[in-house]
Amino acid sequence: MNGSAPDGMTRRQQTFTRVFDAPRELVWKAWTEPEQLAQWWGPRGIQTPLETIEVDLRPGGAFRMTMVSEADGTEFPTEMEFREVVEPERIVFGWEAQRGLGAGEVTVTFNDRGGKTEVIAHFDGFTTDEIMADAEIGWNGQLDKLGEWLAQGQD
Amino acid sequence: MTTAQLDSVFSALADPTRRAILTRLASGEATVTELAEPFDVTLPAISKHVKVLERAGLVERGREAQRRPCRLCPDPLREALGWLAGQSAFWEGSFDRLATHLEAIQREARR
Repeated sequence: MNGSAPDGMTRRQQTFTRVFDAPRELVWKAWTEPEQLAQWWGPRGIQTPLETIEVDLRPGGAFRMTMVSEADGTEFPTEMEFREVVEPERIVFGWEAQRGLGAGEVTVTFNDRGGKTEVIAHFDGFTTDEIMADAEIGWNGQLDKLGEWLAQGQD
Repeated sequence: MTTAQLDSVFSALADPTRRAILTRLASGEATVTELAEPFDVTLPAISKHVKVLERAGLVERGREAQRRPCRLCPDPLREALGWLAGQSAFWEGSFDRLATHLEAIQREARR
């Protein structure tokens, strides 16, 4: 990803890998068909209704959806575009800065692992602390207490 | 916050003793001596951990000559943890549900 950090933003990269017990063609479809994306897209506690999902699977094509919080119905519209589509190996999608979220890009790689599929999602983008207010946060271990403390906005 | 600053926050958080110190400070300021009490380590060792936390901007110390109490600084921590939590929550949650979904459609296909 190109560009310098906007004010108050930090560029970070992070990689998430998971092996799924399903053939690659099936995993590819799950990522590229709106009916299937609606079943799983988004963090815990968030649903992505089918009617909000738009997938125009080609470079420059739209990749949009609105995530909805199960708890209070808060909506998180997300405007992205595909930047690279190499069936069934790789998808790159990215977005411009929106809702306090910095511009960013995710490269998703699908590796055939003998009937199973390794999915690697590589995030590269700018973030601010505002994102925390939007995120369903799973604090764990010792950081639980710190998380509560931070949520109270003490100083 | 620059990437270098964020990196220093992450490396400061990588140590269990330093995380415990931060957790203790979340309930109020404390001197280095007070911070050392629950740990089976020397005062200079705790003092060193506090210096790492100070350099990362996670802790600041009062000016009183004798006590110099340590205080937690929330902003760098909030930013670092928020960044991690946002991305992790999204991908962990999505991957969990994708696994369940793939299981379900394959079960369906076999019927």
